[in-house]
Amino acid sequence: MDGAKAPGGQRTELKRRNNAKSKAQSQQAQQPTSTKSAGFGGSSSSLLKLYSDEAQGLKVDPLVVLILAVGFIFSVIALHVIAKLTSRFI
Amino acid sequence: MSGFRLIDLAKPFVPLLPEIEKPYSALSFDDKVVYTIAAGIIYILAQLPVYGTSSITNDPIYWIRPIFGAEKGTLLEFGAFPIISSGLIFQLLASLRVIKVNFQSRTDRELFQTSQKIFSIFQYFLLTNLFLLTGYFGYNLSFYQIIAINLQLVGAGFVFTLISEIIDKGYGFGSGALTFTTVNIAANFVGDFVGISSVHTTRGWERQGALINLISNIRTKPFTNAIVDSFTRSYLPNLTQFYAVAATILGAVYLQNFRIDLPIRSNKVRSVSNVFPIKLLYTGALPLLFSYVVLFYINIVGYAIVNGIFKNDPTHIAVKILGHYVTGGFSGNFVVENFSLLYLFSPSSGLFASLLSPIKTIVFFGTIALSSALFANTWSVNSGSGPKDIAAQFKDQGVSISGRRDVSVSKELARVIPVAAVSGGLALAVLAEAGEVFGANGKAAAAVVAVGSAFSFLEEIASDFQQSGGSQNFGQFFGGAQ
Repeated sequence: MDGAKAPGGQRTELKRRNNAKSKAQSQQAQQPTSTKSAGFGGSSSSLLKLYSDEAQGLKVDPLVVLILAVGFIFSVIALHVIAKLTSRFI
Repeated sequence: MSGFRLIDLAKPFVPLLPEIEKPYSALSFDDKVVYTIAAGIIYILAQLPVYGTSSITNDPIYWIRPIFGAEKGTLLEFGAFPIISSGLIFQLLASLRVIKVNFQSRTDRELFQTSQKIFSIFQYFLLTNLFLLTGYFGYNLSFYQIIAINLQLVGAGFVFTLISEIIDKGYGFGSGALTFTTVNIAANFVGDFVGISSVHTTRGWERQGALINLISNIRTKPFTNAIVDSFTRSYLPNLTQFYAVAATILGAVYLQNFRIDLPIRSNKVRSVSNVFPIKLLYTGALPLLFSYVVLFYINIVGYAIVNGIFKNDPTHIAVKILGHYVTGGFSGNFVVENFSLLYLFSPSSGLFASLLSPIKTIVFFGTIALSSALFANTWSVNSGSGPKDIAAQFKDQGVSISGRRDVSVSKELARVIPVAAVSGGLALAVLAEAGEVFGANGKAAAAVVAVGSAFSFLEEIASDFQQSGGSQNFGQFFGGAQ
């Protein structure tokens, strides 16, 4: 509104505003659109890599996850077996 | 950063969600092979029937299942679909700047990744309960059955999201979600051809595999009947399907060969020149995969509205517009057979059916071809391997295209890459749909996706192999005698 008022009236004001606008736009256009283009790995052109960054959280070892996954599958098998043996349907 | 951002919603969940540790150093070739195979085997192991369901007969998405590695009535009910779709949606939203993410900030990247993970698990939950609500797992389920089904399917989704994270984090080759689908598609392809397991049908016990079925047919039936039956049975894999899928696979492999070699030269050393290949299938089979994500959403939303809200009542006007589901013949699939919206967005059951209903064929093909082309364009520019990114890479390595100045490298690449990606995506879509015309029920498209992923994996495995070399045990196995 005021402050550093540009000499020359509205024309330059407009120009300056447009300048700032286009600058902001081009800055936004240059911001990376994916983790890969920011240089931190991730999906490439033909592969979908979703979880390639390390985040804070409950850290778990991959082997533990694989073993728990097998455990999960066997617990479902156990459910089937128990249901067969006791011939009861929950 | 001001205002509300979608990824901030993930903040409270960050400390709660399990997060795979990144490997301290790059894993050896052997370890990667072991992890990748383990992930694949666990995925195949999970083809267990879900406990606590009544008999499942009405399957509305049978023709999308192959592409996402989903198996009806098992823990893999939704396969890798939630993982893939969540990744696609978030990446697209970020590229179009609908959600604001500053990929240069570490916390933003973490939040972005965690929101993807939450959305993936949430989709497993949502789909499970949508299917429960619409009576897919049976009507009149007890409270405990509902809890049990939820625990199993959401639990399986959670487990597979984490396993795909293991692969993505660099413990395995390539991408976790694509590993799952590729392994499942490959296993099914073999199973459909030479599977010896028997399936109980309305016509007695029949063999799963098309070839085995042919042999047992020749032994038990008159010769002509046997041949005709093995080529036309609609409820289990038949030979027509097998040949269509096999031809599609060959076509997809053939298309992998097309590429443009851009001549590049070093800026630092004189007379060192090389070529930079840009493949026709620049985006691999991802655009086709994304097209099927869109089709999945259209069909699942339609299915939920028709069956959940209007109880599939054929007299209701909304059901007339969207489509009335009927249980199809021998197969126990849930299909829309009269002219309606959902009818247009599902594939035909065979060659005659696709010729008899040209509008459906054209709309279905058009949707896939158009969305594939669109996704190929967006993905090639925004995925981080776009013209700008490659140009930046060139600059880092002191390379430029022969006969071009440094500044115009990006322009030259922008002239080639999106065109290659779009025509590649289109070619794959046409190829997959040519297979689908023969009634492959999604298996031709699945085969294209699998071949595309397999080639991308192969690239990564080859580069890894060259780096860590033949001293490794599996390395020797892959590389022959060295």
